[in-house]
Amino acid sequence: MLTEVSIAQILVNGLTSGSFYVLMALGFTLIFGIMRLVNFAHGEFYMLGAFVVYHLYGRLDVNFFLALAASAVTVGVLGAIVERVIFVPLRSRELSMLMSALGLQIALQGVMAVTEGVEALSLPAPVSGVYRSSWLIFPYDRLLVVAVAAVVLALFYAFITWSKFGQALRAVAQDAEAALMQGIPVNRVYTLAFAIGCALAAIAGGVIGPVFSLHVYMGQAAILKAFVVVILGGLGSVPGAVVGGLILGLAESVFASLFGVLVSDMLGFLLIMMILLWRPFGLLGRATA
Amino acid sequence: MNTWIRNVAIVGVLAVAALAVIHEPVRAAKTAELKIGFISALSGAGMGWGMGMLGGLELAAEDVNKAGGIPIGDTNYTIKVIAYDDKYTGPGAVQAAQRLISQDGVNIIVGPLGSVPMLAIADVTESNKVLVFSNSYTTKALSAKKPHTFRLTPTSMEFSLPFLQWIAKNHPQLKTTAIVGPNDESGKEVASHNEAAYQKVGIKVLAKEFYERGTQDFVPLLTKLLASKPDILDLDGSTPGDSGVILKQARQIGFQGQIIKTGGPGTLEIIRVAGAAADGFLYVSPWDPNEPKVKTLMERFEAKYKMPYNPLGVYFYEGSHMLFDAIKQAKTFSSDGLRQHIERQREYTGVLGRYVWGGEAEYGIRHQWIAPFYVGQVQKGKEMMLTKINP
Repeated sequence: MLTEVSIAQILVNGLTSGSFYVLMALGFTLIFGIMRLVNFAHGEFYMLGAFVVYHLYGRLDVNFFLALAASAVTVGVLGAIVERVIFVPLRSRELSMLMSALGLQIALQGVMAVTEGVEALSLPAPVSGVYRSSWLIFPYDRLLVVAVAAVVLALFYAFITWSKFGQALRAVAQDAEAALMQGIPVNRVYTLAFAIGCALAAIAGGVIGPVFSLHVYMGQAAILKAFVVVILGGLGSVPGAVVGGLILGLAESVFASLFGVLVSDMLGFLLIMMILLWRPFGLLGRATA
Repeated sequence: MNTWIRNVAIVGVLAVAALAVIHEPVRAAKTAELKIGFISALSGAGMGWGMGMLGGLELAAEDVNKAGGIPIGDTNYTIKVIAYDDKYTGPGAVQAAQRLISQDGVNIIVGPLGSVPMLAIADVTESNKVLVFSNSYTTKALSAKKPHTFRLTPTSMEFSLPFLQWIAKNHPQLKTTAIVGPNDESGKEVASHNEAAYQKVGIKVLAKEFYERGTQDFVPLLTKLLASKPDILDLDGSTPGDSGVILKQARQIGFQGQIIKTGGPGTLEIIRVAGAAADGFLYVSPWDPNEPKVKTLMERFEAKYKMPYNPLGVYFYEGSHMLFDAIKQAKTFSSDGLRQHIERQREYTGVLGRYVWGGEAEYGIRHQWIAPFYVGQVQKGKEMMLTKINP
């Protein structure tokens, strides 16, 4: 089969899928890392981001990147409001927060199903065309996702490493009580972390939307992939999400090309189970996670 | 005195006669509700199909109720639809069927949608002698052991062969195919029917791949599938949303052959998702959306439910009218009486044309509704019907 599909094509397909998964998982793992909350509604923020871009770029003809930025801000602000209204009163009750996140997922899906309908929509790709050579075919809209994933990761890394707020985020992630004693406003950090996580989900939805299709249930597949990626990489670990996403994407592509998609799913999860047996807290996770 | 007695007697007789005359229309005006159960996906991924089915049933019920209901004996029955959402799942369908039978007291169920819910409710409905008018793709849905189950939607068993015969005749250059479909009962059934039909018309199946529902990125799968260089890419029983994405991604990675689909209608959604990539796509359509009667039906549905009408719903509009006509003619809605009446029925003429009951050779029981269908093609983003194939 490798003679029919070039190795380069398989690897490029895998790295592209991996970039999709990294984008989907980034905000999810950030929220868990800071708040210890498995945000089941993450997929719905991803879906909301895609719909904001759909309305601004797809219908009102706003520039794609402006629409993407507006989507991140809108969904980020919504995330901040949701965090203040729903999660602040439940802080320290992890199970209640978990159930609220589940409720939020169902509510957001329901509201969007009523307002947007349930049929799939298409978002026109901001770039068109395909790179073709004898050994590789690569549509430019997928290349855009890879580029956005790289830029978002770089910006996020710079923010976490060098900004004062990024340092506060890391301090809260390591020890919230100690951070509080150092004068870090932990509650504000939680809200902002949740908002950033939601904004990252919105960017993922907005940039991946044109490659696939838009519908109110699109978040379900995204959250599943995000969950697998962060478990593999280590819950709460941002570098883990990157490594986990790329490994999952590559494994799926290689196995699908060699053995078919059903065997690929099975082997992909088998690989993940083996990695988790070796590293129970994920590749880059910490035992305290 | 005699005259007075005579006058009183005459007035008395007239009064009794008048009362009798007045009383008769009162008896004829007795009304009651005939409850029809409905199960389908009314939320989640299959909601477009499910709402189309519900719309078909409810619009037909609306027609009957507006015309005064169904007279049986001295009672006029108006139709009341009791609908439950099974979320496109087996357990959801079983729970809904049990509730309809034990709490709501229905003995006729329209639905469910899909093979898994259909197979799941069969034990409950058959043991309670409840008539089921379903939609599913599996051959296992109908059998002589399931005398109370009928199917209103033709499956790929019915239209694969005539559709592929039409393709082989009109596109003789197409010699090979690759199939991509969902990894479930529906996807596997459609693929097996299509494979048998491809063999009969002399088109060779080079490869087939099944994916888990919920897959969004089909490029790794398509890269492998299209490496076999087929003339046709067959979308099997993929949902309209998935079909649109597969179509778009197949064109993006350079596939220039013919793309076709036999299972599950929803071409407008496919066009919406795939955009210009959908041009040239050949498919089986239950209706001609440009036909005035169909347009009227679509407008009624869209006005009532504020969403586009899925073509699948037309089978349930026509099928519900067939069911209500059968109740009217049989003058009963008892399971056995109605079943026997429908089994004697050979054909039915509805909005789209002539339907016939078939399936004896394929399923061992003549409970499969065979409808006329169209071969459609997307041309410049519009649905164009190329030919109508009658049963």
